[in-house]
Amino acid sequence: MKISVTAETCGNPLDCRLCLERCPGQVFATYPRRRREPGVAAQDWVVVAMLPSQCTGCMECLRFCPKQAISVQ
Amino acid sequence: MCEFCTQHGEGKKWYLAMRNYSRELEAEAGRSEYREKFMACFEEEAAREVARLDAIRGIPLVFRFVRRMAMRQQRAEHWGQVVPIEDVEQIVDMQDSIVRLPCACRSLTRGREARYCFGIGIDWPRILGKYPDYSHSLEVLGKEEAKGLLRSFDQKGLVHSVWTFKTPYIGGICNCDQDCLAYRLQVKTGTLQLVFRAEYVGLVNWDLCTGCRRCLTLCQYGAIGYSNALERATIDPRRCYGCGVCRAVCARKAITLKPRCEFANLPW
Repeated sequence: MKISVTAETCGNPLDCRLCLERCPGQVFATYPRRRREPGVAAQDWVVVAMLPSQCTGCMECLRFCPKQAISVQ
Repeated sequence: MCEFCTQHGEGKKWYLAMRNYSRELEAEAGRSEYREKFMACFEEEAAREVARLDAIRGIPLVFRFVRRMAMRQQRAEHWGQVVPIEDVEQIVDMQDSIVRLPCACRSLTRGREARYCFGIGIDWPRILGKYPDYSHSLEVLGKEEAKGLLRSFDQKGLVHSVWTFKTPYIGGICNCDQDCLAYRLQVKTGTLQLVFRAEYVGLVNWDLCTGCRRCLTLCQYGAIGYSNALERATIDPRRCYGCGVCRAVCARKAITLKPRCEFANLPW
């Protein structure tokens, strides 16, 4: 399965987290695009499909993502 | 005994050898910088590396080679072992300094700050104090406080493990369930090994077990089975990680831990 998440459409995943919480295969993960530095907090979190091999093709993510930011092929 | 016990244990279990927590070891080999970088960009590096491994799973020869290289590096840098509650309490008694910190894995896999990890060694507050994501929640724990928290985690079914920061130095105690990246890679997906099983294996006492099946709800490794015909729980020693968490819910104290080395042909 090829799974992609469009960061611009997704916005801030930490405000939502539905994909991180509900994907039955636990495919997704999140990280800050701007790294932590001394005095600077992590920013610009993005969601990625970290373990696409675990995708079962249930397509639940397409249903629960409120922004339709996920595509599965 | 596991391979680290032989190499770094000074005749004991390696995580009970004082040398592996010493300040000399902590100050050597760039361990301070390693831990700082680890905490600063764990999520990004882990997500990239794991996605890279996942992408080559379909090419077995390449996957096996890359996997072996990755495991060799992990063994030298950041490797864990499952440790049951009694041994974790002994480890806590050996420490001068324990801080509670947010779990890097749960940040990666759930996008949440969850304070289940303990940093051990005097360097942690200095390293993490610089980072606003960590400084606001850093909490220095006394030994009794740390043990109390660990016991409460045990009751909730969280598996304890020790982790090296450049082996053999042990810098952290984790309390994990299935949100742990090592669990997902080693147990759930079989991508690669990152932890040794505990130095123990669980055994059910036939005479005490009433077949209530409560232990089944806590096992993270699918090691506990149940026979309707016998009305007893059973532990598969080949699957058991020896974490001992199942004991927390057994009203009859029917599960005990037996040293892994007394079994033949069990993996670590």
